[in-house]
Amino acid sequence: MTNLTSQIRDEACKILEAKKVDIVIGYGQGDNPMRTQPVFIDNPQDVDKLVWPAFGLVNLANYLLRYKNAPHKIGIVTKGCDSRSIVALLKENQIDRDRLFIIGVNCPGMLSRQAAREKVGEIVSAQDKGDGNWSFTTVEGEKEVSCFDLMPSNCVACRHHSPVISDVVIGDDIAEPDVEDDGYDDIRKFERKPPADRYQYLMSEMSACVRCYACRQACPTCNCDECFVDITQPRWVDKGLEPTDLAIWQLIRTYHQAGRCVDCGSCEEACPKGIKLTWLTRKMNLIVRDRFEFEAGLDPDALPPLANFKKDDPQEFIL
Amino acid sequence: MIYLNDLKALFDHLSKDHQIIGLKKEGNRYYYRPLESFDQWESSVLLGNFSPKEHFFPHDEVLFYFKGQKLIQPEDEIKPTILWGVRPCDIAGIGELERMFNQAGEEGEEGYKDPYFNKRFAKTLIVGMACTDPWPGCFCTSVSGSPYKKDGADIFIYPLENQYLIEAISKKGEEAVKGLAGEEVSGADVSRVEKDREAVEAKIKKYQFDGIAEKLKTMVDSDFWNSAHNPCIGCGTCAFVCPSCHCFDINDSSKGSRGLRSRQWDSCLYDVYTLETSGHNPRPSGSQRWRQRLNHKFNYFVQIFGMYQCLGCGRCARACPVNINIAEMAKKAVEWQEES
Repeated sequence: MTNLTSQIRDEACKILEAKKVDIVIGYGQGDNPMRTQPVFIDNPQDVDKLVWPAFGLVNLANYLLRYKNAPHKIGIVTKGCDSRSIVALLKENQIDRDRLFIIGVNCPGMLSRQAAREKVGEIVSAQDKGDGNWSFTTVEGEKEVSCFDLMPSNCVACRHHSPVISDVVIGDDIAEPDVEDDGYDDIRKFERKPPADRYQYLMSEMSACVRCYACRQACPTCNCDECFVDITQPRWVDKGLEPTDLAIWQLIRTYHQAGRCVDCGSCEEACPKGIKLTWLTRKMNLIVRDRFEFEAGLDPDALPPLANFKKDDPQEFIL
Repeated sequence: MIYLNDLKALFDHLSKDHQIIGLKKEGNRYYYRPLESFDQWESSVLLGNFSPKEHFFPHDEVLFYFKGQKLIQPEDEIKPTILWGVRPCDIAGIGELERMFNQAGEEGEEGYKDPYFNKRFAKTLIVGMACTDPWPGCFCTSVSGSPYKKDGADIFIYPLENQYLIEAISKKGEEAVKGLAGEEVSGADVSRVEKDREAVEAKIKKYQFDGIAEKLKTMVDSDFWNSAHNPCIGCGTCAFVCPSCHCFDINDSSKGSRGLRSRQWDSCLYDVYTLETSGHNPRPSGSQRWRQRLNHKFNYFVQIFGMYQCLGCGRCARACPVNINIAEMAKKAVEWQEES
């Protein structure tokens, strides 16, 4: 059991016993070492179900939306990015701060099933070797990979490992990388490619979409009461798998995330087709950062750009 | 039943008169797609990321085009097809689709015959293959399946150490392998297959689902549903990868008086799945939607067709973003004790 796991259990037990919260939302062990299943603990005796996962690209703030109109006080295990989602939800009046007890964890970064698949192929079973390496039985045979090769691009680019807001923080402080490197180099490199190459790459990614909406459902900020793709009177986007419809779905979903996406990577990890969704959202985040000096969920007092207007906002696009 | 040293002989024999659809690598995933040659077949992959149902029941399918009052049927040419190397759970899944889309009907009445499914089904031959090395998520033996179950296949392949046994099961299967050279299988190897089956079955995780349909009938208002669905985020991934989920949505798309009607896969876990025109939603919560899903798989289908609607392939748990395993959920329902 990792140190973080035992500390999470201790904190959860304390707040449940003291009746500070009715329920604790955290990570639980899935059916194999690579899988994580969120757990909802309402009894201090059950805190052993909580773990600190290796593959934990599930943004737990997503589940807070379920309690929007419920009376519950909620304890929630929170990574850096999840805490930013909570800030974003607070700014959008989706949840009351008073009803939350945030167990913040200084998160060293998660491993990704999508990254693992890219690295080793179709995985039949996996094992944590305990020395920083993972071994996999794949359809192409046995493979061993360092955990650093299993990190998703958003965790590699992460500059906010520590929770932005919390009621208690556990885990060692994590030094953020050199400020010169803002984590967006891969996006800039992609931008330098010829337009035809970019178009071809993005269209091939987007036309793989099967419209299961796992990306939307995994995202805490995708919380519209009625999603534009579900509107039928009139229908905004045709329902089939025409590449243009798929692209419209993905692009509008990305636009709706402007100034709201915290780059937690849950959408990409949830995708059954492994579409590079963070490629779109991170580009959007870069634009918002450069033009509006804003990164989602970092400052509990700042209004997001889409909810705000400043006279000196860049507005040369207005004709 | 004959011996073959190399499956390529069977593949090449069948590909003379058929297009062959089998597991093919696309990007870093595996799908049932047309194979141009034997080498493209991914023989070591037990289960594709999506099931072979795509072939009979495409994700997005035009039902007809319309122009004013005139209806035009899509003119897609259906080629004679071999579905190659399909595992027993997926064959059972195709059987369940057939039960839905090619119904026998009650006494004196003709059952529902889905023309779109049947036009493909009628021209398809299924070449099944026994699983000698099941995956950790497999649980077919808990839902009346077996890694060696040949039912539903037209031709079935049993892998032995250095060779294969090929059995023609249906008339269509016999017809298709006619002319394929191979020595007749000896009795000793037939009984060896039986031994292999027992050994492989012993490797598969076994759940006890006996009486689950009766149990679920008593659980309509159970507290079980309050928490069982909790991790579910309400995406449609499980239904999309499932070999037997067959719900679809029908949509029109038009410009002026021209357009088309099409159907797409749907999922009972979507909140809009049961949304009515009035705005009323009879299943507004995740708990009710999961009650429907588990009941459909382990109760309603058992009542109507006398079989589970889950084949134990384990794809849903593999693909689910939060690792919900329907077998574990069913197990919990079986073990559930209501607090009085």
